[in-house]
Amino acid sequence: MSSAASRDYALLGWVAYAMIALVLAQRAPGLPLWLLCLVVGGAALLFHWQLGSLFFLTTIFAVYLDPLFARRYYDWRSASPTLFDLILTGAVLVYMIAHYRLIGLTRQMLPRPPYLASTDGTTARATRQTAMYRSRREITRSEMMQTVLLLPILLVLAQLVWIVLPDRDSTFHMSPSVWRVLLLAWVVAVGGLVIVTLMRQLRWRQQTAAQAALYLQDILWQETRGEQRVLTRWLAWRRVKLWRKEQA
Amino acid sequence: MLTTRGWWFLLIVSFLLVVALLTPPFGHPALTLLTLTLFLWFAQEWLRFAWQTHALASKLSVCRELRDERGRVTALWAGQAVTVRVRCQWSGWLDVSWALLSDWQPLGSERFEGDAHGEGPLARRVGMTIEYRLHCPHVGRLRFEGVAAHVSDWQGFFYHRVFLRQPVVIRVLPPLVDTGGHAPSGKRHNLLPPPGVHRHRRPGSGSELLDLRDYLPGDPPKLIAWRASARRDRLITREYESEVPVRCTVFLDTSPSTRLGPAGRNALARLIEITAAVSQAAIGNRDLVGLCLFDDEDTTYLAPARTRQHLIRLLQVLTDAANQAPATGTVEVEEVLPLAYGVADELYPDMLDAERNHFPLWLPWVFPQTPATLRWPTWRDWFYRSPLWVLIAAAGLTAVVVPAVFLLVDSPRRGLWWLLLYFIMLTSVVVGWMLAMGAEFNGRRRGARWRKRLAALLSVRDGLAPGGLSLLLEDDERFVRHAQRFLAEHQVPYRLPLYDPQGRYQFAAPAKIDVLARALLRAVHKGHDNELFVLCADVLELSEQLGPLLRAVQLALARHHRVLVICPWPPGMPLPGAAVPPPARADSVALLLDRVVMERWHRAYQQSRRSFAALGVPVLCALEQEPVAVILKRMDDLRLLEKRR
Repeated sequence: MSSAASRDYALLGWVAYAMIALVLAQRAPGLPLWLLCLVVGGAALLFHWQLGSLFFLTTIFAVYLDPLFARRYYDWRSASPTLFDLILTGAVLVYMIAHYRLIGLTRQMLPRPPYLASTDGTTARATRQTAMYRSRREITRSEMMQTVLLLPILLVLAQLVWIVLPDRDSTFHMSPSVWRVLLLAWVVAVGGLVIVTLMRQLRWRQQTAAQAALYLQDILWQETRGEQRVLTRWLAWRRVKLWRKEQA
Repeated sequence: MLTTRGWWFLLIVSFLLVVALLTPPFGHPALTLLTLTLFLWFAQEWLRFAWQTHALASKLSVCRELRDERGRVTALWAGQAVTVRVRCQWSGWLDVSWALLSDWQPLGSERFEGDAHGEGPLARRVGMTIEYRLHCPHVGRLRFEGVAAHVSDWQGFFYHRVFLRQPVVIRVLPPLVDTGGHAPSGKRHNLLPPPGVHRHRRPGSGSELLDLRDYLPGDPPKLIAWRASARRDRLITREYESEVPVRCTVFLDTSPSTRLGPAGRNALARLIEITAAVSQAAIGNRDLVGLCLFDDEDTTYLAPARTRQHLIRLLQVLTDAANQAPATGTVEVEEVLPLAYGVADELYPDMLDAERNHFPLWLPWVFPQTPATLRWPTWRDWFYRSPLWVLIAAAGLTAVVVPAVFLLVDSPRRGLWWLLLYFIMLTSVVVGWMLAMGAEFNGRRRGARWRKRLAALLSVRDGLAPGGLSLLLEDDERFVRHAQRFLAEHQVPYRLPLYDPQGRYQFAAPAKIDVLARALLRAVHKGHDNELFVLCADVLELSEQLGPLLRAVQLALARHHRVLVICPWPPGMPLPGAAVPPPARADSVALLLDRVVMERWHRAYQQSRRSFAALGVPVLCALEQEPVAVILKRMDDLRLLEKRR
């Protein structure tokens, strides 16, 4: 926590944490659940707990879905979120960003190649291990600018999605909640598929001759795998037989 | 692409979003807004990352520069330090959030200053520079493969890796030595004397006056210095410098037996060191030096010469020979595969990804490699194929049982119950068997996946025909040879068994004796009188096959040439004649094995010495004495012999 970048993100995280605590306190949930929420959130920031922020999010959910809290202080039947909800959403987003970037600065950023665990020292020598950490220099201006700009844009976008998502289904007569889930799942799936396809197409257009040759060879192998296997097995068997004869 | 951290985030946020949307009666607006915001944040991070990385390999350029204290260099001397500077330039219009660029430091070099990696954001017009200093201790070639780029977002949700392949090969030449064969301490260049200046001032038949001496009976009258004789009142003879060059041809064994071990620390490295020192010292004395590289198949011959260009060519040939790696087809695939796959995964990640290099997971279950194509199959290899037979047996049994049940059982309802019972039992047996086999041969199935991907890569790299991939999958020997070639090309050392399962030494290569004998005869045929032939050859395991070589040596001696044999010696083994440590207790097989190997080598050395001693040819151990000094001394002897003639 000694570097400038770590300090900045820790500070950002604690500010967001305080705001979340205040918003939740203002709504006066049940004390044990509220305390649990604060303990989890604080521990996640303090100990750089990887899954801490997700547990924190889950406890916020638990607070909101607590029947006592919902019945007394929160009219969750209203169609649109309130100002406090917006503040809470912004604070949670900032908390998440700060927490994950803090982890990125203090823990390993990149996964280790899978074969390293199963091979000997020679391979480890061949695949030199380098420090896969992000340096703790100061945060760049563009990084901070993007974070600041991201917050209102995402809030507005989320509101828009919530508004645009239709809650009535005139064709299948499903319940509004289920209809929204299905619709959102379809939008995410189709959108993701389109983007993945576009990206793949862009990558294909930039591949080298060797990569294209490898792809063609693979297609050929997949199409004629059975026939090639029979032929090459006979050839390999013949070689082994000749070798055995030589040895004898 | 998605890391564990990213997966957890995506799964939990998606689950909470669904929970928020399904909260009765119409969904929870606050929680939906919260989870939607987080989901959109994740989606925009993914989009940004995908756009940053889709053209990473083409938009990231690498410029490499090697410098010493005088500027850029294209070749190095062994023992020299060099600064490596790698400049990476990003030309994409969207900055990369965070990248770790790591230069592939050549194996065999030692980094002693600076880091071979750099990290940070990649921005347009702001490059990233990696700079470090290397020490090159051994003769050979340094191969810089390129730069590995690991890219991630700021949160660590996504990860992408590419390798910017830009192989650069730099020769590391043998160190310079003076005419005595010693490495220079201060001045490192211009060791060759200018034309006309002779280091060895000996009397001969040249044109430069060396000295005056008293007349001896038999001196030619034209050499009498009449004026000096008149002054001293006795006959004085003029002595001129010797300008007769001596020719020396070194026969260097590059067969696999000398190449065993890591490059720079094997027997061949010492032989190259000796040859380079002798060549430089001899050419420094204006003598002619030739070189003949031989192995068990072929020879490479450089005719004796004494020019500077010849010396440079000679050093280059020696440097190229230093990096050759041994290969044998009798290695088990499991010995080479993990190492080769590891290297391929580092250097060719784009060629191993499932998009281009697909591997069906069911393939090793249904069509595993047949033991009939293995050289030494074991019962485990047959057992490995059992899932296939279990499936066939289950299908056959079902084909018999189903009609039998309907024939034998009178009620169709009861028949269906019997069939249900049968299928439950059969499924339990088959699934249980598969699980047991899966646990037993898990590593082998992973090996099958690695092998397919590596075989596809090797087939494309080595330009095999379209069926090459299938051939490499079925033929162990071919696959092992290609994998060894791949590792050798990338200068990665790999283990090789010295003996086959029958206990025979695999690298003796008796064919090289014939090749060497032919090369020696050709050199004798082309040579002048009084040449020195230095045979740097590993003949220790071939005492019984020395006949052709001994005959060629006899012929050389009959032509008044001199022959010297230098035997390579494995580093770390006690020298011949040295005090052998007392036998260890028989509690360690490895110790006993070491001792047996050591005794075998000593015996073979003594036998070789006896064989050559019968012809009057000395045999030296490459590590034992000062072979360079001995060879130079022999050349001086030849020079005197020339003078006496």
